[in-house]
Amino acid sequence: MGEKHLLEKRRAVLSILLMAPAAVLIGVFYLYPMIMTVYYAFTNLTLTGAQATDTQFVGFRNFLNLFRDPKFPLIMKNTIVFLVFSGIIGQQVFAFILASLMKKRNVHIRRFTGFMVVLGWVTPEIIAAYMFSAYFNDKGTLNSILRFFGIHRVSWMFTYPMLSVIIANIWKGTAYSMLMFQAALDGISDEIVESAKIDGANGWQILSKITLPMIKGTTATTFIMVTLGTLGAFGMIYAFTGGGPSNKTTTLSVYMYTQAFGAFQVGYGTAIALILLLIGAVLSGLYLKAIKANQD
Amino acid sequence: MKRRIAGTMISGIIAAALLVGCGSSSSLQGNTNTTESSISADAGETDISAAADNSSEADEKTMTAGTTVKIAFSGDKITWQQAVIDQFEKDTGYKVEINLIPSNQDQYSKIMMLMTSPETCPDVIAEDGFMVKTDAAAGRLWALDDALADWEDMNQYDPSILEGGKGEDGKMYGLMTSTDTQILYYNKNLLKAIGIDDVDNWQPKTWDEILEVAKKLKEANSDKEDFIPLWVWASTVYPEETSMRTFQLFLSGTGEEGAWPSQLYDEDSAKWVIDKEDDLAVLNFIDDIFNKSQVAETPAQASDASIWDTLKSENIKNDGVGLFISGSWEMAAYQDGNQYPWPEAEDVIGYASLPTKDGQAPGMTTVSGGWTWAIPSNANNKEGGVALLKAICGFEGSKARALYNGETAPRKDVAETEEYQNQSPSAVPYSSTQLGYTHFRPSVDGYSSITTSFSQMIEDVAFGTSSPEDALNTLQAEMIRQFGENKVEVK
Repeated sequence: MGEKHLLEKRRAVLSILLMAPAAVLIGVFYLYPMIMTVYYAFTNLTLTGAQATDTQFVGFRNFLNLFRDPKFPLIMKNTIVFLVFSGIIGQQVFAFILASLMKKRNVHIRRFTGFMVVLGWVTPEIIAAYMFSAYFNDKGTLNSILRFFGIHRVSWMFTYPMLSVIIANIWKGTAYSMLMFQAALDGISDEIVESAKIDGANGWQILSKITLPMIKGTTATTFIMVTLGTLGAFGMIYAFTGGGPSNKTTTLSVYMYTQAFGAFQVGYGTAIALILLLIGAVLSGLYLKAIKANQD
Repeated sequence: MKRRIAGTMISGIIAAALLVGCGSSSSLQGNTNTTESSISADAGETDISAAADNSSEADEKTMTAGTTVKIAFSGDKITWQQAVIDQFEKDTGYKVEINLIPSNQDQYSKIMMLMTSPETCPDVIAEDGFMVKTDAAAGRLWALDDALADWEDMNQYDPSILEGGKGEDGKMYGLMTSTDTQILYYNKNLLKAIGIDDVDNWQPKTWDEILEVAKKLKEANSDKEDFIPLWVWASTVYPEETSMRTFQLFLSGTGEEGAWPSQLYDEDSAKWVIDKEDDLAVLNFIDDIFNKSQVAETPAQASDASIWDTLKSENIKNDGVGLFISGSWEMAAYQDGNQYPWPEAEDVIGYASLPTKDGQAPGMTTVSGGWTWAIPSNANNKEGGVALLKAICGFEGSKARALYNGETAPRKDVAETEEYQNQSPSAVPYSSTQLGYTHFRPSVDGYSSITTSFSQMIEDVAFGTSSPEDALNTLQAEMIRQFGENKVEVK
């Protein structure tokens, strides 16, 4: 009895020791910055100027200022439009269609298509951003193609800046969801689909009653990942349009950066970061809840 | 059992290594410097400058062999800096470590962050004039007064120019190395073509006159693709250019003579000012040239990060730009041996000043900026930093910079050299005639954070996303958010 107790104790000590490196890493590089983020969001910390040395606690002032910011409605709208159209609808729906279309094709087509799509994913953000600014530029690829067909050039990045950014982000991010959906779809055995067909189910019924429910778990995971990824998307937008013209592509994450590092208002920028974190957490919670409700 | 113990030990070692890893970089960094730099790091500020003054040059050479001095500046400055730095290494035995900061809108925050920790802090930095006060107020910069007190070269500097490197406390935190004015450049061929005869001495009297000329230029050149009748900086891609060369330049041309900077900052009450009448005069003019008359560049051109290279290398040379407002150093690019040699540039390009709005006294206006060299308070090797700063700001260093850059030299001995006076094409002689009516940016700590809002306001109006009134209201809200209700005065 005593020996067993000792063994358990040893095992516990061992587990703690084994977990220690991970715990230390998470603590130092994740928890500590997060706690500091919460703290700084309630201060008037700046990167320079007298306030940089004399930082004061200001309560909810940063948050109130953000809600009163004349640019806030526009920035929230941009964030939602970007999230919904590039992340949720764009990447997810496009990825699902790609994955389902590829399911029944031969291996060469699958490989080729997969390679082309993944190419976007592996291209570094900054390179993709430069590529797209060359593509949408006034004298860029797209306008050259239009010119060939006799269509007058369009100033894409000024007339349709958000659309340009959304297209770029879909191109860049679709591969992840596609790979996830592909794996999930491969997990549905042909027998189930065959027997449904024999029972007289049409394509829509198979999709809504069999395919979608069976890949629910994957869908939830990709939704959460894509939502969080799109909310935090910064490099692509910043390098592509810098949030402009006139804030038309400024999302919360771009605004956070320009406030913290362009106007040196770190406290204010951190408050925006915290709002972003909250939005991400709430959305993830909603997805999980929806999936759970569906399962019951 | 044995295996478990071994596993435990390994994980323990890894954990310990990770923990130690975080702290070890500092000690490593410390060791690479020789004893001297650690002495200077330990010593108090006044001691260091004293040491710097006492050490003779010969001593310096033997003592400093192999010691590193770290310098950080934006990438575009390397061209004329490299030779000075090479010579400095040869003369003193210091090793110079150059940290190039990409010269875009992010450079200021990058330099600030480098300065926050002694481990990353450079010993000398290039500091834009408008950042000196705010970085000094943050305690990031080291006062140079004592270290430079005995430097005989100081009497070469014009005292009024040195003001630009001072903090709010009156101490000198940055040594000015250049200054400039803003010029209204014009293309003589194009003006002649629209019926202006005396193109060598063209000087518009009011803003309306500029608008009229720009309209005529637009009409006369409507067949040219990408023709720009009037270039005015107007995008947040160029934040300080737009804030200073557009918003503040035009604002300085409003109101009574001598009003500046009261349209923007009231020095007596220490309050930021929203002067509705004057601000709207500027914004309405911007709205006019960009939207109503469409004589300025397109938004796509305004926010193209590389357009200025294209303009300088092609459009300006090929009669593709009618009027453009920019720094007095722009013409240096056309000198022999620089980027786009064009010896006969002055046959085509003429210099004028922005007139005051309605031609009120003194009739013309301009604003001046400039760069400084500074030593951060966290610098590990201040003694080496002072030595390097003196080399860069010395006669040869200043001359190399002025000639390459086309900036107005703050040193008298450089200004007196034949090379400086005979450079061509150059707007420097014209620029010096503007110094009588030039203006400086408000010299106050909060300027550097509100300036991005000025450029945002100009962009919003120029790109047609806000009316002048809405854009000004946004600026007012931004000012109140940053400085507080009681620090903002609305006129």
